[in-house]
Amino acid sequence: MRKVPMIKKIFLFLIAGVSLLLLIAGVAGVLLRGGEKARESLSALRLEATLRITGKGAMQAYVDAAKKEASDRARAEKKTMSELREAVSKAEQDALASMSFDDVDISMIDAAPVTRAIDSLIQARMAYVNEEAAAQQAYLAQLTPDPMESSPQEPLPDELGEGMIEDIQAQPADLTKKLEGFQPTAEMLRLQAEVDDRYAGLTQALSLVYPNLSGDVFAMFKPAITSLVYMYGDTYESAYDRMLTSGGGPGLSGLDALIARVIRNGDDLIYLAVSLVIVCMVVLYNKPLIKKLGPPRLIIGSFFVLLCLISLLFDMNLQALLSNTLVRVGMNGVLVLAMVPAIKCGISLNLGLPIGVIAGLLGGLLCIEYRLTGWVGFAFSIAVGSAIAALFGYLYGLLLNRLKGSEMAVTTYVGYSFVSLMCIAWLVLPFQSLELRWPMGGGLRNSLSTSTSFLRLLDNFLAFNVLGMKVPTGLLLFMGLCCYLVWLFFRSKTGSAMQAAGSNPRFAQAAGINVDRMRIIGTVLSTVLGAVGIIVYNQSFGFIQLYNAPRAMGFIAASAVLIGGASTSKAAISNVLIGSFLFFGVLTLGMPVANTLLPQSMISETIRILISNGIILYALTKSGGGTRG
Amino acid sequence: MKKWMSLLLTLVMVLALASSALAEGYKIAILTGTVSQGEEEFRAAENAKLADPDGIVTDTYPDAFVAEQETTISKMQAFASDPDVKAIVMCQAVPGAVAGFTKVREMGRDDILLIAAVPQEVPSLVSAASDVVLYADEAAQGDSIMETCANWGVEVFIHYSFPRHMAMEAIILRHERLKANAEALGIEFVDVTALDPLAEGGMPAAQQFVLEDVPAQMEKYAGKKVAFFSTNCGTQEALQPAVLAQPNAYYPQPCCPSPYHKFFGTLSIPQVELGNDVAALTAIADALVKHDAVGRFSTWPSPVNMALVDIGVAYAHAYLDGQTNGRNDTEALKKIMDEVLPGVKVGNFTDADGVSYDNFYTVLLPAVDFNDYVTK
Amino acid sequence: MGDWNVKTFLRNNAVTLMFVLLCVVFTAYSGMSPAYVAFELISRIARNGFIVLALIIPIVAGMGINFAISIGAMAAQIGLLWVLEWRITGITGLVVAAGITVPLATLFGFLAGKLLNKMKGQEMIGSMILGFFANGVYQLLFLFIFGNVIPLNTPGLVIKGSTGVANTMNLSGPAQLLYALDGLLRVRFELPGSSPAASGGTAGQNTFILPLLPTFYVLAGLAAAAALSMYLKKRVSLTKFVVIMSAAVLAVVAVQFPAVQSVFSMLSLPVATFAVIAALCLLNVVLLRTRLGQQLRAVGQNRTVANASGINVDRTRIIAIIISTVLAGFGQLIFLQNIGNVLTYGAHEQVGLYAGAAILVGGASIARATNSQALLGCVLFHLLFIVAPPAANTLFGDPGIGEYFRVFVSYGVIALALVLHVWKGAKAKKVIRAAKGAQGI
Repeated sequence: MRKVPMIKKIFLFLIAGVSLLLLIAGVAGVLLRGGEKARESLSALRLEATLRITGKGAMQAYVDAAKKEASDRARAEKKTMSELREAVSKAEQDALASMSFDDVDISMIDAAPVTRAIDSLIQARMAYVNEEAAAQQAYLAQLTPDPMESSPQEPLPDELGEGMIEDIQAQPADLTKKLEGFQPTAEMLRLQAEVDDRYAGLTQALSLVYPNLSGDVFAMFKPAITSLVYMYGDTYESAYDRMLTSGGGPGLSGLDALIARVIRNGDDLIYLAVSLVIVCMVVLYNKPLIKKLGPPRLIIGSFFVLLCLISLLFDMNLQALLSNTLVRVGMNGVLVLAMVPAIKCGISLNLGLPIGVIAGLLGGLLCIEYRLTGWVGFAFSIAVGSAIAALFGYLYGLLLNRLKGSEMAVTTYVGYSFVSLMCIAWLVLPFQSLELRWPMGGGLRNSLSTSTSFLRLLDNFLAFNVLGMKVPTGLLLFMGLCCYLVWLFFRSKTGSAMQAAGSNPRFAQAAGINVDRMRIIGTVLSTVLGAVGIIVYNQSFGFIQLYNAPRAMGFIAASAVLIGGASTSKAAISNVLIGSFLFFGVLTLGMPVANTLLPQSMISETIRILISNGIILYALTKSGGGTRG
Repeated sequence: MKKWMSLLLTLVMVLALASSALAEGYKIAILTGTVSQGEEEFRAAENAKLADPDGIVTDTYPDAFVAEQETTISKMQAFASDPDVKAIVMCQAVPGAVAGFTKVREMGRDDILLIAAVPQEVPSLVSAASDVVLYADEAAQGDSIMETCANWGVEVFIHYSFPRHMAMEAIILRHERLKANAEALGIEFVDVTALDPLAEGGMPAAQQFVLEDVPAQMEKYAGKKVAFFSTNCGTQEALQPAVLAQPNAYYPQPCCPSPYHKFFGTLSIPQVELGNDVAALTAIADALVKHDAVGRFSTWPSPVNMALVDIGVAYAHAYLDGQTNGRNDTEALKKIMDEVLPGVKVGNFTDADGVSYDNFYTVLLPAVDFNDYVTK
Repeated sequence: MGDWNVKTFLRNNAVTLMFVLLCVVFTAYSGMSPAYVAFELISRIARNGFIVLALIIPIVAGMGINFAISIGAMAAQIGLLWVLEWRITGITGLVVAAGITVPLATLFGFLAGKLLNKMKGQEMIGSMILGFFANGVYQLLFLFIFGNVIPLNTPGLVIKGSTGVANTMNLSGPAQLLYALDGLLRVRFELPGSSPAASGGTAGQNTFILPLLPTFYVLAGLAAAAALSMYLKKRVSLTKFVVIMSAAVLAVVAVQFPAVQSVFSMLSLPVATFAVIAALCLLNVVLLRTRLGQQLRAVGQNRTVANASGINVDRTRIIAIIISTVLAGFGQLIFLQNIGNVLTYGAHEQVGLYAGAAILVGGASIARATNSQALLGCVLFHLLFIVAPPAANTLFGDPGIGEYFRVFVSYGVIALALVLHVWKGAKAKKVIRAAKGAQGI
């Protein structure tokens, strides 16, 4: 702090200045949204959009209607798809040939009557839309006591896919189904007539501009224009975006356009300002931050923040993305945590994690086999899985004790071969439940739904919404609990003995610690956490996955903990938390952001692979010597 | 020491020779995926073997067939090393099939009838290397899927894929056809790039992406009927529950059309009697009722991969018994297809350049309306 | 050789013996004909021998090489793509592809080496992520640059309507790259009492047919003569001399039986390929005797000591990576010309998966990773691959299990081999470092 170099100072001031400017502009923009200026610019945009729809758009609308008609006719005649495609393309050509339209230069016309007509149409439309919303609300309210509303089936505990139905409740799209019986009220009809009337007025104004458009054509435009001018719950932003996408033209020019943009993107300017402040902070406090986190974490963390910013700038649902990130952290967290005791006890990264995972899967399978559900099933799975894992872990630990110093090379292959051995076991184990067996023959299915047992039990436990973001409380609590227990364990006498045995076996042996025993305890703990982790993963994902699925689990967990700052000989709970958040955060946000930046192009996945992994690689080269690794 | 070992090895080979027994008549070999990759073709082979234990030999290609092409080839050569094997049916004809078939011919086994079902390599190569190619018409699925969507009144169609898949001819043909049909029907066609299961997050990340993206897309197209389609088998088990949970989401067909493709897992349906497709469809329909999704899901009424194995074996018998007119007898094949798959539409494959292959047969089945199967 | 006894022999060769035993059991249960097993084994060795031998240098240098093998294979595939595009056929095409591979693989290897040197202590996660990154670059090249930015004109390389290069590149047909090397010179054997045409198999223009028995007599005679002259010059011990002599006699006797003769009925030796493999053996021996070879060895044994003795460790490591990348590229070319097609987006993955295992099974360690160990490992490992699945099918009576069993055995024996090596004690550390090397850590 004290010795900030001159260049850095100038840089900081510059960024701070820009940030301040952006902040002021952004706040002003957001505040102006209800103001006179906003109304003016929106009105101008609306005028242009209307004129474009009826002008240039008329041609398109005519062609579209012809295509729709041809397509509907072909379908009614039960034509094949290739005939249908032909009919539609023929209709398109015919329509293009039969219609000619002379474009009018919008800037040259007298727009005042049209603007007035539009304004009056908006009033009527607004009244209608609001009435419609109120009527629908009332309809839904009188619908609620209906027993059919919440769950159409009697909610028996072993009812199929109960958890899936619960999810439906949260979806707004459900409204469409419920509103099927809704009838317009008298008031709505009256207001609709009013809208029709005003639209006729607009038609007159427009026909002065476009004399060669007939009444038929205007009738065709009616739905498009009435929904263009006002929609339910319209804000400045949504109206602005709608005008731009339907009009196509810039609408405004020069300063007006700039002001309109600032008003529209005021929130984005504020986000930018905030992120610049973050940049300032990082530059200013980079030394302590690097000391605390290490450069790799700082770089990957900044990348994550950048992804968040981009998602905000493109009006993506950041809350949902962050919520997804939390779910992924929670569902994978315990698996990542399983690496810690392994590293600490001296067996290095436990790439034999599939062994623990398989023990957990066995627990889950037995839970389904005995038709246990809910918390009982979950607890049973964890108990049985842990017990099996403890046994496996003990044997595995015995093996590893004979391989001191060479665990990692062997564990991968031990893990792989165990997975393949279990592939045979899945085919021959005597499970009886028909839900577990392949639809057509012997052996267990490769994926078994947890919807009958413990689907999203933790995800939904005490889950709440904050700022539009769903927090999977139970999942995070469970992960926190596991982390806390492991942390507690390493504070205990055995725990500290294990750490000593792991970091310096010779010294520990001399101090009277039974190194072999400590390594076995560590391996058992890691394997048990693997078993618990996979059950947590399965309850969130919705399926228990057998056969080759456990193979990758070890590597994913190892990547996360290594990115979190652990090394093959040193690890802490903080590495798990930071690593899980960064690794799964970048993975969760990467694809949606790439898809938004590069829509409708397959290159987005390739670019995502390059950038995400490139950043991680770059970050790793900055780890410097590897002490902090 | 090494010399001792090599001597020992030679001795082993000599001993093993004695064990090779001679069987009478001919054998038909079937190469399928393991049960974890796809149950249908595996069961079909298992059935055929049960019905005729001496006349059928079966084996499976590796799960990691792209990385272990060599193993696939050597399994094919192992079949050909038995002089009694007179026909090889491979389903699915995963990458390695063309090389394997070519090497079988190189062993001097021109007498073996080679049948490739569900090929995944470049069609011109598969057609040249095999005697008969059977194929669940993916390009024509571009028509049938869109027809199903149009019947449902779908407004938006979402196509999940990733770059590696979009370099496969069959997937591209289907994609282009879907796109053209969507344009003609006035359905908005949206390409969404999904995660490649071979990238750093593996299959879990790819599945999780689909699970998260479906609600996001439904929010984006709120109030519209949206159909979802993914080109990757692994992601179907994420796509099915995700679509199930959204009242306005539709699932016109799994990537591999069959009543057994992941539906049983998603809906926790108990095992049904082997080969009873109607029972399977009824069980699915009844389970869909509980999710209010009968009118939102569809697939083909028969497990097409299973049928293709049966057809391949039946055709091989016909050929080896001298009942066909040469190796590629369209009439005989069509007769067998009609018996195994009633209602099937058979055609010849035509690639993007308009070249048609006369030994490359496509089969197409109508989509199922699950409303016809509801019993409860 | 002096204090040879059964116990030490068993202990020193536990892994190899275990493999031989497994192979014996599985071969007996597989029900495969020896002729086929021999035929398949020879083609597998021809395909994979080069890559397995290419591992010796990086293992001696104590390097992780899995990802290097993958990027070498990528370089080779880029080379093949352009050879196909330029329509250079046959062995010329293969040589040109190798020519393209060298600079590309050198560049890739150099960059990867630089990168890994910058992340000491993080090599494991580094090489994992580097693998994904390299795959991304490869996809960018093949899906969005070749065929789009740089147009390709050869039919079949790009699918109409697709984003890039097709997922299969065909090397047979007009490209004539199939067997470009293998087909240069082949040798088949004529069994007494049968014409070679009747036994079927590949018959190209360059196939030479040797009568089996005389060939054997000549070879056995040559071996015996060589052994005798060596013994007389006191270059080999008496035991060894006796062993070689009796082996020669045994071979001559054994080949009189029709059962043994039939083993050779399907064989078709790709002589040129084996010559290339032999050249690599020679290169390995020569290179490790040079100054650079000594440096590689020193770095492999102990980096700190090597550094203290004035060796530029970073530079030596980069050289080792470059060598292994280029050699892996060649190995991939040899593999692909035998297979006959390139799975554009998958052929480079897991190229070295079993190569590293094979060399360990042969008993390699850092102190002594030799050509013969690599070849022995290659033979045993692939033999197991050939016979394990049918044996499992017979043993379990379920065809669904065989494939899983093969994968189980292939990974299981690696694990077991490593465990047994460690239990042998003295050599443990070195072997393990070799194992880490082979695994890519």
